[in-house]
Amino acid sequence: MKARISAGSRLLGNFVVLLLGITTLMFFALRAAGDPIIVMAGENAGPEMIAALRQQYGFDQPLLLQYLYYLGNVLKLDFGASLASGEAALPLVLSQLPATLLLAFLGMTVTLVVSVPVGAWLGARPDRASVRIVSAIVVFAQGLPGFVTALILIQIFVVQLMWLPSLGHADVRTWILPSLSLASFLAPKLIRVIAANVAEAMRQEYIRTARSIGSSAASILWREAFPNAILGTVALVSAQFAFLFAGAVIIEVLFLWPGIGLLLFESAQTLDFPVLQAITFVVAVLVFLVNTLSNLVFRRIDPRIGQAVS
Amino acid sequence: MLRVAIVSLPPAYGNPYTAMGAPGAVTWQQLFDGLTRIDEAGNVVGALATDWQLIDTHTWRFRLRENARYSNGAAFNAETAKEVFDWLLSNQGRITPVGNELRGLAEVSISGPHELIIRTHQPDPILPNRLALVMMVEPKSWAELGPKAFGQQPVGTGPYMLESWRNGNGAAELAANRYGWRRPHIETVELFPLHDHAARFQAAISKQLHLSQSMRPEELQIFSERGFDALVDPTKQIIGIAFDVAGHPDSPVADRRVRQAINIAVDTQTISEVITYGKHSPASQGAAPGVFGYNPALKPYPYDPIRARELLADAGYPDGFSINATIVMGTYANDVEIYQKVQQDLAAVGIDLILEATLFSDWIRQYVTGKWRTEAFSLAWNTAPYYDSIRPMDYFSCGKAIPFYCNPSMMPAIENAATEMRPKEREQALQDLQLRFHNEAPSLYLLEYGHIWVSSNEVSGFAMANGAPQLYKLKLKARD
Repeated sequence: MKARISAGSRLLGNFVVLLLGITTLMFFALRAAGDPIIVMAGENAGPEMIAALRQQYGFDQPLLLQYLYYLGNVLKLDFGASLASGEAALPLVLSQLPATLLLAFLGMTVTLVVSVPVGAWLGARPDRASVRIVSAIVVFAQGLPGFVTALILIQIFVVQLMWLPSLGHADVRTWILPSLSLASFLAPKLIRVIAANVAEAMRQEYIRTARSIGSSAASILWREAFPNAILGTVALVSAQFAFLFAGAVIIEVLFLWPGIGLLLFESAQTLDFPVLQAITFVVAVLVFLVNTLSNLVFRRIDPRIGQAVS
Repeated sequence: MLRVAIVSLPPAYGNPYTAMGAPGAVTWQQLFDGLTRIDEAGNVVGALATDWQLIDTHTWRFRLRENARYSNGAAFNAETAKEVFDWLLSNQGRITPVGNELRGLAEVSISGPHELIIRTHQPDPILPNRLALVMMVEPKSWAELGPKAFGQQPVGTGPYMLESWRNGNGAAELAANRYGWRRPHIETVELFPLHDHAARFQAAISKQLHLSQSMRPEELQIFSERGFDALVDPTKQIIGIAFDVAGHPDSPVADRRVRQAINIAVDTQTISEVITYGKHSPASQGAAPGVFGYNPALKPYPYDPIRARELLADAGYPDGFSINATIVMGTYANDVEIYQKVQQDLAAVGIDLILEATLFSDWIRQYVTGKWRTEAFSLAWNTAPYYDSIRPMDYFSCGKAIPFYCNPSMMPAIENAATEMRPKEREQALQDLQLRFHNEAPSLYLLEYGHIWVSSNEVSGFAMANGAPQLYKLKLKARD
């Protein structure tokens, strides 16, 4: 019990340090990136107009004071109002989060549906010619930027075949291409990890034993080798979650998917600091939660990890 | 339902005083009207004002439309118009980009239920043009909601009213304004803010859209084969590379002969024909044809690398020199190729042009503060929303808050052209100034650039005015 409390407080401590680090880094990095007041004032603004706007938005204060004020507000989960639209930043981000989570869920589902069988198949038969061909394709796909895949998919399914739309997200048909595009970010790497882990498992003594007692190939793969290969896979899936958000930015822009990726892109254009800071905060919290959850899953899958940590 | 792809929605949504020109104008001109507007041919015509008279050099009378109503049913009249001007002239309004443009207004008063009197500090011959910029918001909603919240729920007199800034398709949805004084042919419009060019192209070519903004010249053949029409926005910008003479007085570009040599060394005709497929003509001056004060006698600098080398030698640079230019890439179709061609042509006469790519946020910071890191920078300017040559002349003068090019000897002529009330004399003064600017070459004049729109064969009546499509004029054709 004491160990659990200690682990919990350590986790909480890490969480606080992470958020403090992220919010501080974003605060100073954004201010180094440009001046939103000048963007807002426009090209014909004179010094007096800029000074008045700075005063109105509190940008006339010393930077350290601005930072302390910002930090105080972050503690109250108040990121301020969007400089462009005046909407409260955090509620604005949270209102667009479900669309991104839906995209993430769909992308991850497609990734798993494709990666698990393909990776297991590749790992179980490492020497066949067909496997080598598929492996080469996977390596090629891993090198292809996600937005290129997205544009190719749009060209085929929207422009040439006219089977699917490329705009919007209200209709289920509009979900197909964004999720496939996002999966193209993640699946190749996952396939290779699963394949490597399965291949490693297939070389173990217990597999030889299973073969010697006459277990079928499918049974050896799915009941013996795959469960032992899954640990590395779970680690990668959780690590990929952060990349998933990065991938979502370009996918949301291409498909006009109204999530936080699109909001991030639009806010970056106008240096909308409050919204950019709120997005970073929300993504950091999500990534932390997913990583924590995956740690719990690790321990469930392999109790030795929990014991080692204890 | 009309489906239109635009590059982006205005960041402040329906607050029309937060920016001028693109991208806001495309959206705001559907929701709001000014007292005046610039028509398809670039002439200033009435919108919420039916006509206007100059009473004396400082005073104008505007007679207002009597049948105009806001989309919430409230009547538009001289009182509501005055409230709008009063806000824009207040301390809060003056720090908006549109309010800043009205700093020459001294007072707005009412002389009848549908009559406004506007007094200016100085004679302002382009006041009617200037008012095309001032969108008439519904003052009661504006006062109650405040500028930011009003942006979420805008109320104007335009042909359309807002349904949603983001509907299920991710588009802004507009519906016909039932109180509007112009009834649109198509009841609802979806504006898709498609930032990525490739996505916009693919959505257009697959006929998911009726209209698409900012297509590339090389795509027009593909569109044509599929039954699309193309229209180059007549509100043309001049794209160029301006010289920061004020901030770099020791640079070679401080010498007029060098600036002329740079203009002569670049083959703008080939850029026009090969890179832009002839869609954008070489620029000869700081305004495009059709703009008041454009000088038709001026021709683009002729491409003559030998003469360019002679000018450089005269200026003391027989072996050329190296200059840096701050460039925002990807702002205009094919701009990367254009800048590369400029670099190549200048290298041929011994000028090593080093392009330093930057983001717009960094570019505008340098532009506004006048602290340019480099002696040249990309600049695209237009005469919109006024369609008058005086506007770009202000940019290239000592009159800019922190100028990058200041020739004091030209200021009396600029000030005269800015306040001359007799149209003929004023036009002549502007044309004379165009010649002087051409010879001074404060910029490398590249192209007269207009955004290319494509419309599918499902719609008819497509027209552009003052940088925005006139969506209310569009009709959907019956499908076969």
